[in-house]
Amino acid sequence: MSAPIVLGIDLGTSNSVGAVMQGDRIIIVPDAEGNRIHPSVVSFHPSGNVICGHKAKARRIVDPENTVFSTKRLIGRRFSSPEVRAVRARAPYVIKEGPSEQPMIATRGGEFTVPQVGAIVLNYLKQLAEVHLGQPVAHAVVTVPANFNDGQREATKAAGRLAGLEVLRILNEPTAAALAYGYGKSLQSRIAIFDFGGGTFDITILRLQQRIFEVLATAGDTYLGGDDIDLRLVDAMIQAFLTVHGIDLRQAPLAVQRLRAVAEQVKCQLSDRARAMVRVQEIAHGQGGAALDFSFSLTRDGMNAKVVDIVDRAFVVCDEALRLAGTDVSQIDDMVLVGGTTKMPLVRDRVRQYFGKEPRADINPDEVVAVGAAIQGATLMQDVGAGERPKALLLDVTPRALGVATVGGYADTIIQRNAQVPIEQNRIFTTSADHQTQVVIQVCQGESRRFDENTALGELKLEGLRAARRGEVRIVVTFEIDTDGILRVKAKDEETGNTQGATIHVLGTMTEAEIQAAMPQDAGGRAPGQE
Amino acid sequence: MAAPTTHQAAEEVRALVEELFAGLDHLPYYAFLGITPGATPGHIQEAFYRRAEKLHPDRFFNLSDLELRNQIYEVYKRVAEAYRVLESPAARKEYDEGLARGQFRLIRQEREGLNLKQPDEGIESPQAKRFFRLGLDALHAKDLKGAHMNFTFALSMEPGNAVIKAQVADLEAKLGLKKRPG
Repeated sequence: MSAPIVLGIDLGTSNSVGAVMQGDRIIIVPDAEGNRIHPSVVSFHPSGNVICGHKAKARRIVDPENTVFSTKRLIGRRFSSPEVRAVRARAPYVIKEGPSEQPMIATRGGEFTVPQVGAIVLNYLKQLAEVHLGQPVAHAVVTVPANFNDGQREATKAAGRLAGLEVLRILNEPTAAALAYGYGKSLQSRIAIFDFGGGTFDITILRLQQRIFEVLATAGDTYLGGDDIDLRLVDAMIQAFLTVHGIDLRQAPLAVQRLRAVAEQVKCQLSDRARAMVRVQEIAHGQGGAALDFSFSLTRDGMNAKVVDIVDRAFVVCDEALRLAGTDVSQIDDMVLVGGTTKMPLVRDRVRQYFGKEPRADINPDEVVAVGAAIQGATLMQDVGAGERPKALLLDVTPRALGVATVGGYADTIIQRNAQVPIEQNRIFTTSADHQTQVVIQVCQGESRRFDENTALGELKLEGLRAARRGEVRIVVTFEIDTDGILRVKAKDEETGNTQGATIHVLGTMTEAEIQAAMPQDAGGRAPGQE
Repeated sequence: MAAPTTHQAAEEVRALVEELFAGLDHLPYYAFLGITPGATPGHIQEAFYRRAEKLHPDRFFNLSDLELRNQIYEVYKRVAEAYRVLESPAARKEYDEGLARGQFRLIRQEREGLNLKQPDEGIESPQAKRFFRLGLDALHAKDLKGAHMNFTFALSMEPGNAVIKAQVADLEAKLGLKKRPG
């Protein structure tokens, strides 16, 4: 009996890719038109149909209010977070506040949580895979940026479940890329994965020793991506139009939306040529209602000058990753470029300058992450003949420190950043008041000494403590980060050995009950339809 | 078919896991990595990789024996912990000193009580605090009515306080004081 097929999914900010491994062969899942990468866009059509991928992307211009994109920037984020505010300021679709402080997207098709929108994209890939392979697909490995926090990972996993997929693993994107690069090659080297995507930048340093892929350090910037470059070009276009026609296109969201698509085009064109010229018809109306067209021309050097400061922010993060890995830049044997933004010649030049060598050119930066996810899926499904050596073994790390709040607004680090997972750390808590029967522990991710400068994950509540004088009850709390990078908590009364109820409510994502209620074909749950 | 060999290896893994699992409360890190206390840094990394290849939970993702799988997970976490500590010269020194005193695991001393919020944190007025504490005492004595009374007093001292309100609402629900709509 052959092992079940596992769909490797790179769920990207702008685009998603699905891959499966059959035997030793990798298949990238195409759509009906043969496209191998699929825009992570969902459009709610007036007919009631939900459209995904390239067809949905085309609707960004004609139906911007009902065409949802870049939701990866929202996943696992609280409504009040700066990230959600930034997306709300730009997005043409409506984002409201939902339960558990999570953002909800309101369209003509109804209101959706961010994991539900993610689920539509994941389900689309699942269906493409099923059509292409001619068999059902029920398992997946889904990748996330290395610097995704606990809430973002939970939310991504929830999206997978809502899509009808059993998510075997949440895998870090750069680690997936490393696996795709080194799989089956028996290498002994140090490599850097330079992952510059649409929404985030990550750098990961690994040590490869035959089948073992040990992550030494990972660092990233969640506010840095190709979208920032597009927006910079949009600003330039708006400025140019303002200068010529005296009209501020910022007042016209539809025009801005069209310019974003144009900016992306210009950027991609300038990867192959030295000059790009575009003409946008009827972008605005001038005096007397006359339609105005917009022509824009830019050289590659011109673009580079406008965006070089954005690109260079990546190398500050590289410095940090190398320091954390205890590695000198000269010890890096190979660099693997991942993500669409690395197709820019400017990025390649800067990488070459920084590392002092040529990056790998034989790897497809758009597909490599999904390929790695497919390999990991197949490896996990590998039959557990304990005599057989694993084909690949990933030793990954947790990208963020985990801490708890202490008096005075400070945070105490419990799990250090870049610690290998799975990891557990114990901490002893005592009561601080007589008869105290419950305690609330605030948990955060981040390295800052001050609690509020870190990302608050949620509150851990211990209940049913033995009523006693203060300080008498000692509770050993075990914080554990599992192989998905997800936090688990256990608590035990040191004296009695009783296990305490410990739940952590992660804000900004769906609760278990909400997920259950939203499950499409959950036999135990209520069907959403009414009869 | 290499079935007998596979079987042998599986038994070997099982025996190793059982031995280490039983030793979670008393074996030193060195045992989890299968090395002697004199091992060089190079040895430590090599030993960890060997152990990881044998015991990493990903290898047993589909193992139907859930108990064994759980044991493997617990053992592997300690193996990784041993590697993390012994790999760093400073941490290894600290560990060795502790080991000499019989501490088989490196656990840093905690400052007590610091991590907890006071139950009355967030309450400003001293009177409200006093009644709130009395309410907690009553609650501890299972005197729900008394608790409700004290929390209600506390709330009147500091109207609108969310911490007190939550306690009052909780008790009202428990005592059935609140009328249910519909």
